[in-house]
Amino acid sequence: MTILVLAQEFDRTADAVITGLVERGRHVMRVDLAWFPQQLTVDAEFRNGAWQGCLRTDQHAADLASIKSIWVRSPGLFRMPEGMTPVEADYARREAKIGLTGILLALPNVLWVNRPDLAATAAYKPLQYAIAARCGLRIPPTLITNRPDAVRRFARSSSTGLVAKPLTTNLIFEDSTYKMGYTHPLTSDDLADLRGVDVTATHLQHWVPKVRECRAVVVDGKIHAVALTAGSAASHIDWRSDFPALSYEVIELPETVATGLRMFMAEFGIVYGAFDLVLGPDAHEPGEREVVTMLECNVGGQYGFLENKAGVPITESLVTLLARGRTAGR
Amino acid sequence: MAGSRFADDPLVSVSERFPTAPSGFEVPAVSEPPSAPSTRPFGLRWLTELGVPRQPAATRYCPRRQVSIDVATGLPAPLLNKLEWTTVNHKDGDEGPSKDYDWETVPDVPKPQK
Repeated sequence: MTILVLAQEFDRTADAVITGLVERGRHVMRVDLAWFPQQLTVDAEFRNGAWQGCLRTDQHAADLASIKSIWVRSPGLFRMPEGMTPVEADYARREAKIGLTGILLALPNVLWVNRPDLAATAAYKPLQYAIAARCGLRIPPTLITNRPDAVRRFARSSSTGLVAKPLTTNLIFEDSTYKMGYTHPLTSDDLADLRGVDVTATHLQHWVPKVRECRAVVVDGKIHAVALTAGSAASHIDWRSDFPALSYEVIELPETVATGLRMFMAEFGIVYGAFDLVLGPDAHEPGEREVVTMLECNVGGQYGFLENKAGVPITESLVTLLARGRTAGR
Repeated sequence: MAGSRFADDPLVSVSERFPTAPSGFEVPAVSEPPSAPSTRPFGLRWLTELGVPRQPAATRYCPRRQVSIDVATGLPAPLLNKLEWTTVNHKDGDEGPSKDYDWETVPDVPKPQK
């Protein structure tokens, strides 16, 4: 049995999982798709209803038939040889994607963490909200619009104010630097100047009152939930904006929420997900319990910092899952 | 031509069915300043500059071991969950003790690429 880890070369989280698998005596092949075609070869024939052949680098090889688990961590984009024109490189990358990754998708009885097409579907936040609600999870009132008057209407409907947040990646490259967008509470000045709302789908939500937040990483149904308590104004709005101000506590989520998270993942057909949750005050029983509101599920969400700060054994869960492979019925 | 129909389909692109990301330390070849307020998306008003990634000098990838190793000793670098944080970055899921390590993370949402 081979476990294929699709990850870039510098990925310390992947290092930990690979080390764990090797310590268990498993055969692991790490592949960055950026290695194809210059450092990685594929030689595959379709015979008797199945793909047969191998993946090979200078140091490692995997028989396609032996691959039983694939962890899609964050492989790089196919890197084409110097000298190609942009048109040729685009063509070559398309061929590589359909050819190489198509073979991987066709391999039978493989456990995917996560299957990339299902993960891509689960990345659509509007769909997440609908599925989450069906699973009994609480979602903040949300607006997606390109109409400024809809923003003003939505603002009037909120007693807690609005926050703006991106629907997709919040990282862009501009002015020769990377820039990141965090959750932003809209001020009266923002609402008075809504230029830019009309140029694309703008995503706004009611601010959810919070006591603290939680990142819950679910691996094959096992939930690793860590509460994040903000120690600064910035981290209270968006915990990612001020990591040093956070304190961590391993918690158990209410059973209804845990069930909802598992149902959510089953609906999408994914086995790994990192949920961002708000733990808010209960208006009816203040101080007694926390009301859990789901903000989003990151299907490739990071977890190393939780392991580092709170000791939750997420690497161990992933190693166990990948080493086990697919079970009957899934 | 089966794939061409979906190559740039706005709903279900081929890329999104198997997302890949720019390699960790690559920087886009083209960089432009923001456009005018009337055309810049509302959600891009509030951004924090992060700089550009740098390849860490102390470690390198070992193709035989398939993990990062210490350049000086040749031994596997300490596992991430054994490291202490000294600084952090501004990205979701910061997972390392320095800005060098920071950049090993990528945004949570898969980034479709051509």
